[in-house]
Amino acid sequence: MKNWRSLLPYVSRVPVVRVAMALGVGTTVIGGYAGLGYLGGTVPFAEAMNLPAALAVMPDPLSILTARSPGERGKGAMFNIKANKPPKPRQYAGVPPRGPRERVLGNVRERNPGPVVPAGALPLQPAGFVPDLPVPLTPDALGPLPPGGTTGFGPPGVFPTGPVGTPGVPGVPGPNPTPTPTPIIPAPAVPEPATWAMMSLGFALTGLAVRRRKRTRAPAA
Amino acid sequence: MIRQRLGAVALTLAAVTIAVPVAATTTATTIGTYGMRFRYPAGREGALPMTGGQPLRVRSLLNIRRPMQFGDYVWSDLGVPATGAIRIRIDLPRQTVSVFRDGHEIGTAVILYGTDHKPTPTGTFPILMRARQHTSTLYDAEMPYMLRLTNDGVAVHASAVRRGSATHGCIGVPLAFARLLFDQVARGDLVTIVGA
Repeated sequence: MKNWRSLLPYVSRVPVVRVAMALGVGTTVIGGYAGLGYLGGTVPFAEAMNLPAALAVMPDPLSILTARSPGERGKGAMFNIKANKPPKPRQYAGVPPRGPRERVLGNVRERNPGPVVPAGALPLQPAGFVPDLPVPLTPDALGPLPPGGTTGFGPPGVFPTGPVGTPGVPGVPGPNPTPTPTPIIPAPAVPEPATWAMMSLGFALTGLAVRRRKRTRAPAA
Repeated sequence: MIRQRLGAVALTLAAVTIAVPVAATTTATTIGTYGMRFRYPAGREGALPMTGGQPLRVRSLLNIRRPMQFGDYVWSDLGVPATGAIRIRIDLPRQTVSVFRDGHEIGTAVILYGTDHKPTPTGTFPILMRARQHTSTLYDAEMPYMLRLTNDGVAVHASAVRRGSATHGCIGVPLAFARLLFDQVARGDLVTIVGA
């Protein structure tokens, strides 16, 4: 008995084995046809299987959908689209916190101090206002001056408030300058009636309070 | 004898070589296998309730025996006629979508839907517009494979389907599922959103 195939000539002579082999071949052929038909989109042997299918209890499609569902979302579980914040670490009574907790300025940033320059290497600069301009401040660099002044800088011209057209006032050219006095409206010396009323009411209330305190203290003393 | 054993070992090795990569490359988002389909016999089709209309007659359903997770989808149209009317049924309380062709379910996925403040409307809507690359002007967000349902902006589109997320009223489906669905539907196909 070298090989199992060597048994086949002897076994095939037995009628029972022949019938079994024929059944196997038939089952393979019919099952293959059914499987191919199933993949092809038809229900194989539908008529032959109609009776057991008609007798069987078909499940409700909704129950099949329910079985595959990940579950229902809770009522009101999601009122906005933001994810829930992680819960705060719980503080137990009597247990001090682990360390100082900063709520603001968690990370302190420091400005880079830059390269260190020795004191002697600093150039001498005149104190005072140094214009931050690449070119020296000359009248040519400033362009044309505005009309009506020798220099564009300095305090604003003093506008005459007296007689119009006084000659010789610096900064006011022309024979007849138009005076534009600054509208300064001083606060009126006499308060408004409402202010008066509020002040007198305050005084009255103060006096009343003083008198009341005196009156209540008198019987006690 | 030794040669036979060597042959058996070689056969086993070959089977493992084929089976292991197939199992490894099967994505977690596709569950179920081809042909796993629950068929209703002719004349005894199932009926799925639809919003404000007659129920949908179901010839077969994908047979998924376990709850799907967020981001999962199944798509299989093996054994289903290639042509037929497309109907999409979106089940809000079950958080799933089912795509039917000629009464056979060919795809299903877990969805995201609107929050309680911006709920998803229910009813039956025709697909008004399809856009493979769409950017929402309202939310300035990418909405690939968009299928517009209403004129005020409710659509079916791809999004990151995760537990605990929701939309502003749209239906969010996984990206790969959205691609398959986009290629399947045409403008005018009916989408039914079923509420609680």
